[in-house]
Amino acid sequence: MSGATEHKPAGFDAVVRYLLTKRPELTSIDPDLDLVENRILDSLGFVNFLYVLEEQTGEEILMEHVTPSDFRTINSIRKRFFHESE
Amino acid sequence: MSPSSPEAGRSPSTRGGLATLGPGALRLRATLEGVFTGWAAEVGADAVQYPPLMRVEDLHRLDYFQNFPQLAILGAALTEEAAPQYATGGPREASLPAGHLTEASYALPSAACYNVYLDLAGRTLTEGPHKVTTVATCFRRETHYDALRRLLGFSMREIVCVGTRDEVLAHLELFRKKITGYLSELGLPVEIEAATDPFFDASAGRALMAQLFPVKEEFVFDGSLAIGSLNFHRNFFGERCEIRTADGEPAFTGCVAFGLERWISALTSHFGLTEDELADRVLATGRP
Repeated sequence: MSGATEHKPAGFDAVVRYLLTKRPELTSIDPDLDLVENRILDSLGFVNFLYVLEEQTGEEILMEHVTPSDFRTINSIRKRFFHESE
Repeated sequence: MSPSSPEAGRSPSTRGGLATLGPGALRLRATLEGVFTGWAAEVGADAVQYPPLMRVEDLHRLDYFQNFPQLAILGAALTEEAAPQYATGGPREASLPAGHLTEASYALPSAACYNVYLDLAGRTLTEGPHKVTTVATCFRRETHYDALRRLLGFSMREIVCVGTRDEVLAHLELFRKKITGYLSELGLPVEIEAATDPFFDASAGRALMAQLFPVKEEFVFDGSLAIGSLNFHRNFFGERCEIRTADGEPAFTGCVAFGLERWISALTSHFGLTEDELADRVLATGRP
């Protein structure tokens, strides 16, 4: 993954910063790292994460319109919610 | 046991979440244990008995009080100052005041498998997955108790796998099949339900959560009684206890858990047989 960084919208950075606060020992998160398997996203924090995502995209997230894979990695989140290609 | 012995015909009784089991229930429990430990042996799990109390400092390492503060039951002693009053026939209230107790550095276990991870702390598993079976009397402070269905103190048999993600998932999948097949042959109707955190009302949200965070599946009898569960902890315990797989990564863990009194409760209420008859039925099931 390269070349996409200069096009990132501000809201996307805020989402990544939010994810980083979940694991203070990390300084960055590989965009292809599985957020669930590595427990950056967990079930307790997921509702709050949806709220952050809605706030940063300005769009309501309807459960009927998303799939688990939309939330798996930073790349998949960007692709699905910030309408950017990898 | 002689059929005419005074304890022979007694049914399990409970008081305040604490159960007394007589010879029949104990025979049924031992027979069930024979089935579960047989499965454990089949997958190469070593039998281990861990200490009956846990250290509070160890539980902190597992975020136990963060996650389950309401369940914890702690062990304390009388303080040196208070002890003489009791020794001389002092207060005889049903509970001892906190002011008479020492600080609690021990807790009663609430699950059998925490000790497995604490015992493996610092280890690197170079020879494939590490499997252990253990049984413990576990304690949980609940808002209400309900006969053998919900107890303050109960017996939990676990078969634990510590290894790579794939090894742990294979362990859970194998037991999902084993248990489902066994229950079907036994004739005990049980549904497998994914346990999720109750944050979403909408079914779409619950389904998404269950797919994203599969952590627990329960074998539920009669719509509400979970007699067993499959639990996937990801690499939480591996990280906290610094258990590593051969590649140096934090180990994944998962466990299969059986609530022994709940099995007795489900079998008794479903079949309406005596415990001895149930034990015979359990013994006959799964035999070629």
